Formats: sequence, C-alpha cells, structure tokens
Amino acid sequence: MRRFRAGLCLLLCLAALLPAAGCHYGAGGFRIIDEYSGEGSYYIAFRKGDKLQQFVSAAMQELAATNTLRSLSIKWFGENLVNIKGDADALADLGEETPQRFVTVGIDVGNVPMSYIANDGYLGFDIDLITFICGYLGWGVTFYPIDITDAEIELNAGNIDIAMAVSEADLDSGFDYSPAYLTSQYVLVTRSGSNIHRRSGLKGKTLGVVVADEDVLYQNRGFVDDLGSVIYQTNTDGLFNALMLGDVDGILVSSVVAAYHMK
Amino acid sequence: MELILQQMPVVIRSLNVGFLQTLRLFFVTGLGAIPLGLVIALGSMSRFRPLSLLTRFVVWVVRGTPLMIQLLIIYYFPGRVLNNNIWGSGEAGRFLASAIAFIFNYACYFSEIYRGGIQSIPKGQQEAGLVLGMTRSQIFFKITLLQVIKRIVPPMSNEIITLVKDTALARIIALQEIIWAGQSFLKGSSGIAGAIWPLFFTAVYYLAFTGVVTLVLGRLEKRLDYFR
Repeated sequence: MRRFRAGLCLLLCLAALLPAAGCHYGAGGFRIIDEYSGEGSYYIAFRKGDKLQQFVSAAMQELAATNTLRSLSIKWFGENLVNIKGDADALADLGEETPQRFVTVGIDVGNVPMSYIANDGYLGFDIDLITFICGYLGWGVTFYPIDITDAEIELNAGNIDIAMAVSEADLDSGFDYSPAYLTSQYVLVTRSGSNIHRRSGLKGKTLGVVVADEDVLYQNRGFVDDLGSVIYQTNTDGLFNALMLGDVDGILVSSVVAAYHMK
Repeated sequence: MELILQQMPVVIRSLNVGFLQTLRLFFVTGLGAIPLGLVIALGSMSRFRPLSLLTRFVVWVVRGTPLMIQLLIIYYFPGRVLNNNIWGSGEAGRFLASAIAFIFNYACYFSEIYRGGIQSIPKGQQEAGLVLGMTRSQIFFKITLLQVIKRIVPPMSNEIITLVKDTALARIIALQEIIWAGQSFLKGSSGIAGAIWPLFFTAVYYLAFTGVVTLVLGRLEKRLDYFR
C-alpha cells in the first residue's frame, strides 16, 4: 500500500511537470512555446545632427546605472528587458552643460504596451521611459501621435524632436538614433492549458498574427505551409483575445508584447 | 451589441473631440476661401495681362494637383527644405498648415465659380450702368455682384459639401480630426482595439453634417430666388 501511494505521488508529480516540459515559461493564461525569428531592437530616433541624441543616450545610461530603467521594465513586463549598459558618469563625460529644452515626442498610439491612449492620456513603457529621461535632464516634454513610419520626415521637418519605438526595420540613414533600449524577438504563444507544447504542434492548426507582422510570419514559409489557417488581427490586444476565446490555437507576437500580456 | 453599448461613451467622446477639429477646419476654410476666391477671380479677369496670366497659372496648378500633395508640401517643405519649421510642433501648427492649404485650394475652385458667375451677367447691364453715369465699382457692387451671388449659390453649395468630406484629408499630416479618432479604435485606443464600428459612426457624423449644410444652403438658395 505504501509503495502504491509513493508511486501515485511520483506519477502525480510527473503529471504536474508535464505541461512545463515543452515550454520555456508560462503566466497569465499563456505560454511561449518557441522562438520564431532572430532578435530585433527598439531605438529612439532624433533629427540628423541634433545634440539631443547624445544627452538622451547619456541620460539613459545614467538611469540604467541607478536601476531606474530596470524597475520601469519590471513594472511593464514583469522582468528586466532593458539592455542599456549603465554608466553613472555618462552625462559628465559629454563635457557639455545640459541645455534647457522642451521636446515634442512622436509616438505610435496604437502600440500596446509601448505607447497607447487610455483614460484620455498617453500610457505605456515608452511614455514612462522618455518622461523619466526628460525629467532627469530637466526638460519639458509633450507627446504627439504620429505614424511611426513617418518618423524621418516628421523629425527632419522639425515637427517633432524625438520619435519613440523605432524598430530596426524603420531605421533610416536620415536620422540619428540612440543605442537599442529594448531587445525583442518574435515568439509563438499558446494558451497555458493547451496541448500544444512545441512549434510542430501547430501543424494543421490556426495561427493568429497581426497584419503588420505578416512579413515576419512568411520568413519561415515551410512553417506557414504546414499551418491549417492564418487569422489576421489589426492589433495585439485582438490577437490575445482571439487566443483566449479559442478562435486561434497559437499566435505570433514579439516577446515584449508577450511579456506584457503574460505579466 | 452589449459590447458596443459598453464602448459607446468612450467612442462618442473621442469622436466629438475629432469632430470639433473637423468643424473648426471647415469654418476657417469657408471664412478664408469665400472672400479670397473673389479676389483671385478679379485677378484672373484683370485687364492687366501679367496679373491675369499669373492668377490663371496659379489656379491651374492648384486645381490640377491633388489637395493631399498640397497639404504635404505646405506642411513639410519649410522645415524639410528651408530648415525653418514655421509651423512649430503640435496640433496648432498642423491645424494652421491644413487651414492654409484648404483655404488656398478652395479659393481657387471658388474663383472659377465667381468668374463664371460674373461673366454670365449680360454685358448690356454694364453698358447701361455706364450710360447712367455709374462708376465701374458701383456697377460691380450694385448690379453685377448681387446677381452673381444668386447664380453661384448652387455650384458653391456643391463645393462646400465636398469641403465637408475633404477635411478628412488633413489626416495625412496627422491632424487629429474625426477620421483619426474613429480609426484609432481599430488600432487600439482607450482600451478598445480592433473595433470597426466607430468608423460607421464616423460616417454618420459626416452624413449628419452634410445634411445640415445641404439644408442651410437649400434655404439660402430659396431666399435668393427673388427674381422668379
């Protein structure tokens, strides 16, 4: 009898561990089952030749040294995703006095969790980040919603001073940019309770993807051909809703967005 | 349906803010373009040849190119090419640039309507005025213009109704008018994402507004129908 109980306990423990075996981690009702593509990064863009770039980059390094950026990342993503190297003397090393500025920051307002509208105001990691940086430099800041693909023309026409969350794909030789402050990669996410634990489990199933990420999905043509169908959504909120409701079996999102929803 | 009712107050509030911007742009354009159109019309009919040629050339360029391109050039050219951003940053600068582009564009269209109206008045009336000892300006303001106003109301109404819908083009330079507000719920705004129904509501705002404008202009047309 004792042996039977011990065996049963062992079996139950193994059963409990089984769902965790095939995934990296899971929280918030979702789990990441696989990485899909290489890393991509987020940058802050500035007008070509504008000294703002040096001051903002230096301020970011000083804030990273005081762990402020780490706390900010944990607040939004539940983990530290900021990869700026800390340097407590970065501003002093510039050898110039910080000028007084009032900056207009261009943001993409439909970009949860980086920048979005809620309660008649702007919220998001990027909003907090640039507010912290400008506050640290003693600068005033105001936000203006733009289409982030217009960042170059908006910056160089002088309509905005800073553009947030410019991804590698949007990097342009027409503007200067900060070191990458966040690194992300595309990942495949399923429901925590689902029996899909690896990429191969999605064979013949339905995958959800944001329209703007279609090109990322088609980087792996073989994987797409094996899928049952692909459902497109206009935004990541819709994607996670579809996953929660069972309309799709898995979704393809950036790891930053996944971290925010799984927090 | 329940979800739409739940989201309705947030959407309506946002659409109202966008609609106010649309209204502002519409009225500012109307106030600026109606008198400027008359000035351009007089310029194009001037007996001073260089002035009339220049005015007609400008009208041809403005009417021959899309308003959207004019908006982009007016807004981005000073900062981008001349390194002098005269519009400043933020909503006010974008509104000012939009208003100038709209006023100039619509003034050119109105000028052709004015010109057609003025030239439709029989020459004999002008000659009769001169015989009676009236000056040219007296003839224009007391005889010609009064008849012109009556004649140009229907084509002007048409242009004004088009203007209501054209205000949506200001979105191209990120002016946050009503379509911007409606579309933001598709991408994600105020906790609502992927919702297409606010765009139908946006269309209802336009329909209601064009309805009111049509009624007002219809009444004006009737009031000016004093020759029948």
